[in-house]
Formats: sequence, structure tokens, C-alpha cells
Amino acid sequence: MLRAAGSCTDEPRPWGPGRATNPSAYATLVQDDRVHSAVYTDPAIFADELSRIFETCWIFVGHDSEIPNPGDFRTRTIGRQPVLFVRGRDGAVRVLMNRCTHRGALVCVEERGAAARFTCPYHGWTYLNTGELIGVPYAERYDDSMAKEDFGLRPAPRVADYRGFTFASLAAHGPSLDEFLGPLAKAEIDIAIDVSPVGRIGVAAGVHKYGYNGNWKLQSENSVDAYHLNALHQSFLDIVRDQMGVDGRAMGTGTSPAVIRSLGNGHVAWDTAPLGMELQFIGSDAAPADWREAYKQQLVERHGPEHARYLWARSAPQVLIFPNLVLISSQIRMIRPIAVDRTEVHLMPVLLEGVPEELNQQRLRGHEAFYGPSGGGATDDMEIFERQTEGFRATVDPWVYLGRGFGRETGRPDGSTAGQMTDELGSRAFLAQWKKMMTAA
Amino acid sequence: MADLAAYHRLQQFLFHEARLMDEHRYDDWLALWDEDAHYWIPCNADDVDRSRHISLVNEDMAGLRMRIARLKSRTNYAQRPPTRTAHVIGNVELEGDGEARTVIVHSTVNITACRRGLLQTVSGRVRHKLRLDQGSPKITTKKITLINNDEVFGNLAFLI
Repeated sequence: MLRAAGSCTDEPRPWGPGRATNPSAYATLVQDDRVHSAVYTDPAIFADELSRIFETCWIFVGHDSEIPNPGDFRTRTIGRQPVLFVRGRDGAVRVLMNRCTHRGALVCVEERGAAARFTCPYHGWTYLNTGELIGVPYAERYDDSMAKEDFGLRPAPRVADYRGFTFASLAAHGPSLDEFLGPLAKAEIDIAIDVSPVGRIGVAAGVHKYGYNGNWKLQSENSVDAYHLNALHQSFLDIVRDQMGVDGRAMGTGTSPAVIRSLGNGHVAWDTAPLGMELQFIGSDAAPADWREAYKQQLVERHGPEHARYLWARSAPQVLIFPNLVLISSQIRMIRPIAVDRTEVHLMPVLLEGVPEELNQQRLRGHEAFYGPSGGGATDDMEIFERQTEGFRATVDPWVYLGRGFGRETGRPDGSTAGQMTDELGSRAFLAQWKKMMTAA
Repeated sequence: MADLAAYHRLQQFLFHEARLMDEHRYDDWLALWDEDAHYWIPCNADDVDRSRHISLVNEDMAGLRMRIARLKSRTNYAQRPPTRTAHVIGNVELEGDGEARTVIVHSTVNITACRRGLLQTVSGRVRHKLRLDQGSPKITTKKITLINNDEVFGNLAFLI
């Protein structure tokens, strides 16, 4: 179905062979206001990213509402490493490496389901959904030194959750999830949950999956780039204006009062509250209805008038959590690195518990209109990632310029750094963290 | 023989619809639809509860008009240049006799799609519900069950 990935392997490396794995090279590839396009095209850098970023960082694995019952599982990836996100028969949520401890085959090839046990089809080794090895055919040919308890499915070295958002790290040591997220990224996750007046969300509305022939970072950066909205998505915005009477351009102009903020550790958020919009799901302004008032009142009762007003104005989190998790609009977005020039993106809409049914319908229908492989917006993003990847082959000037708003950022009392909505502060903050991790000792 | 005539007429309708899509005759294609129509391509499974689960395409006429407006837009970069498609319709099967007010027509579609050097195949079963009391048939519902509806997609911005 798709072009073979790996088409960049024959490209010359401007800094010479072998230097990609020398950490000091990254310091020259990522500069304050520009980045060398090799960062998006070089297979050696990609291989290095898998170990230095994806196998080091906290990586989002799933939300606990996806696996409510014992045995429920999802297969996920940390970088390219396959894992099982599973609730065991003891009720505990685990992240287990999806690899038989015998000969290494996947023990589960389904993306979702429920299972009491996982059996590797190769030689029949069988594991409980807690990871415990319970079955080894013809065990009499192993001597006593082979103990089943030593051969359970290997857990991810560290697993932690924040309000049901479960993250895992393949590094045994490093900052805690709490330190990694920090208060500001946690506050964005809070919005995702607190817009439910009962404080509960459900991640069970399916998943849109699309792939493009380009680097994973293009999608991470694009997720918090507001400068592209009115250009790349012009056709969608035109049609929403013409057919629904809603002008969506105010957010992405150079004088928009909305704000982009660097939250630390490479996390980046938008704050669209200053726009004074309400419930910013597509089409939401076209048909005011009683349920909106009822929902507003629910938020006031739960959170008090001031915070309710803020939640109402935000209506959803808008955050990139380094390196590959995005919460935006009604969705959880997971960006999966496949190859240096191949990425898959999974979008999972979130439904809110305790809200008027109309709001959840609006979240789903708004998502379908813009996102996903047939949507009116995401398809333009996929297109531009591939055009970037093709354009990067022109290396007379290999730099990508990210200078918009550079030097005009302002510090905020909460420790964030803020810029005007269309500033390229998001890419700069993301790549600064990338450089920090890629050059770490 | 009435059955055979109805079968022929409805099969011709599906072929005609396919040709309008392949020739990018967007307005002519839109004119085939009834005003209270619904166009549905489920995601992740062949049947889902649309009120609790997202779809790939889940559109009434307002949504379809937006889709067509975007296909015609010069700034729809995902379709500039447009995907060239060849829809092959087969296995046409009528439910009912074709003489009633509405008829269900089952078919299988195989679409070869080409855009900017990428050739892909999209394939699935199609269920049309057609209204027959207005001269030429009108599409009331069209549901496409893609065989790969739970897989990773490339750009699906063209008409299916």
C-alpha cells in the first residue's frame, strides 16, 4: 500500500560519516533559531533517538479507562518496542514487554482485547495476564536451574500514572514522572479530565490511524504550530466560514491574543482562553442550545465560577508532552516512530462522563470532520510532512528556520515562557529538549 | 424479466456513480444523493455505534457538501494534485425486487488509487440504499465496509 520507507539512506551526510553518533554533533545541528534538516532525515540520528529519547523518557502508553476490567489489554509501542498495556487478574495495570522470554516472539498480535492468559504459539509457553509464566510444555527436559518464576514477561522498568494517564520508561533510573511532567504539563492533563463534571473520562471511542512518509518530529512540532493553521488549512477554514458561518481564523493570526507556552522539559501548550471563545469544537458556535447552559452550570458546581470559566474558555487541553504525546481538541494523539522517514499516528477521541450527550456527540463529530485519514484537516498535515521530507533532499541550504518570535518570549510567574500564538516557540522548546537528551552524557 | 431489468438499471446506476467519482465530477456525484442521505465508512470494525465510536466518514448532506466543497477547493493540498482512481464495482446483488419505493443494493468495490507516485488499493463491501420514486435512483444511505478499516491509512481524501 505504501512506498518503501528508508529512501533517505543514500543521502550524503554533510558533517561526514560517523559523526551522527557523536553527541557533540547534535549541538551544531540544533541551534537557537534553526535546525539542520538531517535531524529529520538521517537514519543514524533516528537510531540514536530511539535509544537516547524513546528508551529514556517517560512515554505515554495508555489511559486506564481503556482497560477497565481484569484481562483487558492494548498492544502499544515505546519507541519501536512492543509492549502490552494490560490490567491483570489482580486488578493492577501493568506495562509488559510483548516478547516471549523463550525465543522472543510476540505473545500477542491483537491491538485490543481481553485475555486471561497469553500463549506464545511457537513452543506454547503460557503467561497469565499478570505476566507470570504458568505453562512450559514438557518441562521435564529443563533441569532444576530453570525456574518458571524467572521467566515471566518482562515489565517495563518503570511505570507511573497521572490521573489515569499511564506512562512507562525503559530506563531504570531518571527523573520521576512527576518531575518529568512538572506542574504545568500536569495542569493541561487536568483540563482533559476536569471538563468532565464528574472528573472521569472514557477512552473507548475507537482510534483513527494514519501514516506518512516522514519523520515523527514533523508531527510533534506541527501539533503545536499555530502559524500553519490559516495557510495549510485554508480550504477547511473557508468552508466552515461559508457553510457554517464560523470564522476560525482569529486564533492563528499574527495579532491573535492567544498564547503559546513552553512548559519545561520540551512540553509545549497553547492557551486559547484569551480569544474569549467557548467550547471550541467544530461547529459548536453554529447551534447554541440549552445543553450548553446546563453543562456550564455543571462546571460551576464542580469547580466554582472562576475555574469553570477558564475550563469553558479552554474546553480542551492543547499540549504536546515530549516527545510524542499530544492532547488537543477531544483527542489523545500518539505519534509512533517507525523509521527515519516513516511515522504512524494514532488518534483516540476522549468522551466525557456526566455531560449532556450533545457534548460528546459534538466531540466525536467535530473530530471526524477535521481529523483522521478522511478528515478535512489532518490530510493536509500528512501531505505537508511528505512535502517537507522530499524538500529536505535539497541540501544546498540544509537549514530549517524557526526564528519567528525568537528573542521576544516573556517569562511568566509560573515558570513558563510565553510567546504570541504563531511564534515558533513550540518547535524551539521541543528541539532544545531534544538536543539536551541527545547530548546528555 | 422485471427483475432482470431492475437489476440492470441499478447496476448501471452503481457504474455511473463510480464513473462520476473517477472523473472528479463532484457536483454531479453530489446530485445523486437524497436530501436526508447518510454516507458512512466505519472505523476499527465493520459495525460500530456511531454515537459512541468514531468513523472514517460519517456524513449527512451538510457534511457531504463540505467534503465536496473541499475537493473543489484550490487550497485542498491533500488533493492537489487530486488522486486518480479507478473504481471497479462487482458482485452486485439486489435485496428486494427493485420495484418497491426503496431497494438495497450490495456490491464489492475495488479502488486503485494513484497520487504523486503512490499506488494504493482500497477495497470493501458496499451497501447502497436507493430511493426509486423520483425518476432516477437517489442514494439514501451508502455504507462502505473497508477490509482494512482497522489498519493504518494513507491519505483517504478522495471519494470512495
